[in-house]
Amino acid sequence: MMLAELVEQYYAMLYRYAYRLSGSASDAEDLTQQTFLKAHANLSQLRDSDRAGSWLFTILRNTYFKTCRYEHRPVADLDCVPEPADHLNENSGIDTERIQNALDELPEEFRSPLILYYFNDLSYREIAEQMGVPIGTIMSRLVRGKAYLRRRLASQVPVSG
Amino acid sequence: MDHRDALKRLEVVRPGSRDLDDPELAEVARMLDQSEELRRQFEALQSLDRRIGAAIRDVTIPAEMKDRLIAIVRVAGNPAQTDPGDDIETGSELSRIESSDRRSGRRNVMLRRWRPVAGAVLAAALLPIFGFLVWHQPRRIELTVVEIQRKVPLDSESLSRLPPFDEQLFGLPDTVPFLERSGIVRGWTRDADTPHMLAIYSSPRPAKWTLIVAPAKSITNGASSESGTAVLIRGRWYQTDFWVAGEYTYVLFVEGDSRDLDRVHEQVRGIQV
Repeated sequence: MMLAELVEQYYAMLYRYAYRLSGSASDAEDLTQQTFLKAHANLSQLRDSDRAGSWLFTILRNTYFKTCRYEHRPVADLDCVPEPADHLNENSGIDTERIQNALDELPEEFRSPLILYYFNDLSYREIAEQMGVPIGTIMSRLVRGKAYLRRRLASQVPVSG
Repeated sequence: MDHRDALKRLEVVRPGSRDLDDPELAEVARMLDQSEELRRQFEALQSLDRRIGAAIRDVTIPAEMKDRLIAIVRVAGNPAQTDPGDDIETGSELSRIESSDRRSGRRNVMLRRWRPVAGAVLAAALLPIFGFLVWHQPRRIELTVVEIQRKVPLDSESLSRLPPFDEQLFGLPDTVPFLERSGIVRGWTRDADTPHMLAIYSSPRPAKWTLIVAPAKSITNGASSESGTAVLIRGRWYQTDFWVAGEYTYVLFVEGDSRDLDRVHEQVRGIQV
């Protein structure tokens, strides 16, 4: 598969993923560009074009971890999350900015699988494979992360520093 | 597995997917068939996930981003613009768009001498890292040397460990008023035999444009043809251009689009060392 085809097919998805991961438009564009340049340098490693998306997401995520600074930002306490569902009114609008804020509050190990899940491109198995953690762990993180997200979207949740 | 556990397991099922066919979820799929209440809750969950997913995916893509990326990978994927025997990462890291009107007679020389030009573009990409220097020292010219070798470290921590620059430089005349209004790289290493040594201007303020002047023999024909470059630096696009006049090679970086480049280019072209 040619790199230009990869760009054509995945750039928008990668940018959106990068944006939700970093919370910054400029960082997202940098990350997307770096991802494709690294993909170019290692294109020979991509043996199965069906896995190109997963491969690119992995590159982007690794690039993000290498470049981002782990600051002491406040993170959410996921120990007390409510039962699934029934926390958002079906007719209520979903504020994308509030979603970003909620994602930013999540510890990375919850945020990343959640973003991958909602981008609808990777199954929980693929997410587990990409993050290098057991399937059961990803399931648990998705459950807790989604529950927190719903709760955060339904009402403001205090964030512990 | 009780109802509550089943509902939790169903959280991993993506709306509209065939995730329920996964053997790992076989038991919960059976429960779903048998419990109307579970099915109702699952459908509510899926509906909510669809809305949240749509909101999360609702990210505006920057205009012309695809074109920029296509241009970048086209250059990165063109072996004629990098030395095939050279595994310098800069060759692919640089976001370079070269015009098609390079002169064929100089092509081979250009390819052999590509590394210094690549280094110049890399230098431009690194300029903002040094942009935090204090504004109250506008006349102080800070220079740092980056050795363009294999695996150039691109993070600021690695760059901070690079040795200080202590070589003599070629200088532009201070008497050119126009130059004093912008960030200028005032020199290059004097030793033309070490073209991989690159001087980077540490601007005390963000420069709208930057001009690097180097002895022509240190870059040779690599910069002699008209060529354009687009470099993304911390979310801002810089256009670049190279040309040779007299004994010097000029490398210009301008923040903005090609029109900004043309505008500055017109002014800078008249400057001669």
